[in-house]
Amino acid sequence: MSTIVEATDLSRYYGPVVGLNDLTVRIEEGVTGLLGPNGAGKSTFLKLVAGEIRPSRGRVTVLGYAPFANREYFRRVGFCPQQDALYGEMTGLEFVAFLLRLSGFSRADANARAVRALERVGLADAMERRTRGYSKGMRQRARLAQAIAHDPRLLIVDEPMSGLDPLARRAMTQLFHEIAGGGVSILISSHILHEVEGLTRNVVLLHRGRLLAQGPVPEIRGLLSRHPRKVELRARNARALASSLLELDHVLSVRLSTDGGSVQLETRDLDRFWSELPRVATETRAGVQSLESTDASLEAVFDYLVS
Amino acid sequence: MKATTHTEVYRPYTGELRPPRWSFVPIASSGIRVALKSRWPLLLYLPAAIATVIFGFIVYAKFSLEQGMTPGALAGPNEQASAGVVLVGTMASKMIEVRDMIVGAIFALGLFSVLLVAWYGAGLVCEDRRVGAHLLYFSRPLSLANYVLGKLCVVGAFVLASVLVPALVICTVAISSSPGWTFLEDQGWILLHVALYSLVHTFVLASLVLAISTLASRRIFALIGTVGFFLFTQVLGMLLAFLQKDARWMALGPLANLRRVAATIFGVERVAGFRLNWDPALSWWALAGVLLAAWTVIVLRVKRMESLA
Repeated sequence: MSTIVEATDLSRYYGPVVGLNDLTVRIEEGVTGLLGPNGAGKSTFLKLVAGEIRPSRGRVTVLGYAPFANREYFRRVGFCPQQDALYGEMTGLEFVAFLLRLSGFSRADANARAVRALERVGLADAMERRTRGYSKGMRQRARLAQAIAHDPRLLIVDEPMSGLDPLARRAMTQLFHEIAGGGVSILISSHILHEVEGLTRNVVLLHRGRLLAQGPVPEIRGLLSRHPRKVELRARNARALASSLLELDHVLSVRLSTDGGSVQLETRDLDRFWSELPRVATETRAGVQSLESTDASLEAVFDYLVS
Repeated sequence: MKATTHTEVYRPYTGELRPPRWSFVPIASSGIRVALKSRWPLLLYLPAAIATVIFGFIVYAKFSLEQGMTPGALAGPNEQASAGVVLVGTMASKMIEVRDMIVGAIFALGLFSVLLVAWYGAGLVCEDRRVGAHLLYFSRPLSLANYVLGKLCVVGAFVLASVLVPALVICTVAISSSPGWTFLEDQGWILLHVALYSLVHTFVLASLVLAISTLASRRIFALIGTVGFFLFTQVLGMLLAFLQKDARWMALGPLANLRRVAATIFGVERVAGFRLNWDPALSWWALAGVLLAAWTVIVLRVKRMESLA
């Protein structure tokens, strides 16, 4: 895998406000989620990567280019901002074709590509309508269409799921998977963690303008050894299972749910727990129906990291 | 969203893109096309059309009378020829130079030019910033100069049409109704003056509205700001000129300066109802100062738009 984004001591200030603080990060190709709460510096980082703004300190290279005001670079990236950015008087087709013409495509080529991009995002039926009448999801898809229409090598997307209904989110996720499947790297930001979990396990966690963690979520979780791991099991004989699990020396606590159907436990050593669980389950005839490591989710990891 | 629309295989672009040297052209053409989608603002051109007809008719009457036609005959065989036509014919018989008519039209349309420039130019930059469209512009191979030039062309096209077209129509009437096209031979230079003044007029108004648009947060504020700026400076200039009994105060208003410059370019000494008794050099300098200020604002604000994207 080759590196697509490399930031070294990257900082960006807005007057006295620190948008991004001394960030050093390397992002490989593929889909990468940029995560953090509001004000973490995600949009600032994306704008620096997209070449929209200049770093106050440090440097960033993307696809080997210094992005700011670099016309050669702009042809290789697609940027889908969080802001509305549409002209209500234009049709979806005019909007995408217009931006393609700014990228250097001829009128005919721009129109053909705009049609194809709008079809890909599912706006084929609405492309001749003015964007003023588009729903939020359609507007988001129109913005995405302009970002992919010129076949970029890197797609930068800021909060793409924001305001979308569940159906539209699923369709958008599916679309990102397809784009990524075609060899396009995607850098996608969100403050809603589970949205990104559906897209990728590779994340960059930002908090207050600083890098909090980077890498696949399970690996990040594994590094947090000071926190016990949580596991939830559903079993037919959950009560017997709970009492047997308490005898394991690495299990710190066991809690039986009020309906008596599930057990939540905390363990210091997850690997040992997985290896010992079959034996315990067999001995107690527990009838395990499901098991889940509940704190391996992004949400939980993020909570641990910022707490 | 239809699942079938997502089955296409992604194909990275392998062709070669043309270097977009004239990237202001798509901005200008698309901006004009979008502005023309709303038809009713085109009513702002109605005064220009009316003025063109009136002043054009006076020019036609002038050449007709010079060729021996009587004012009454101008109305044709209709016995109920309007008194207005006879009046215009009588006026035309007493005066007038074609350039007077062009300057008259320009003076009469000054305020409407301001309304036009405000309507079509006020939202050009501030709305981009408000909706975040500048983020899309500046993630393309587009220079700031091309961005500003594209926006200038959009508003410039509408203002230019309000000045150039009436003047050209009056010139065309003069050429076609002068005997043996003598107007073209004797006063063909007027066409050059029309072109020169139209460019000055357009550049000044378009620059000012763009500067105001870069400062405003919403289109409506820029619109009010533009109209307010022109009216305020005009009224202030007139008031100070009256109180101080010094016509030079009139140079406070860009509109008054444009009128003074128009009169100078076309070599017109006086226009009924308008004061022109101050040094034209003062107006040229005042316009240069206003342009310098406007472009300083535009450059700083647009650069800021880029750096604070």
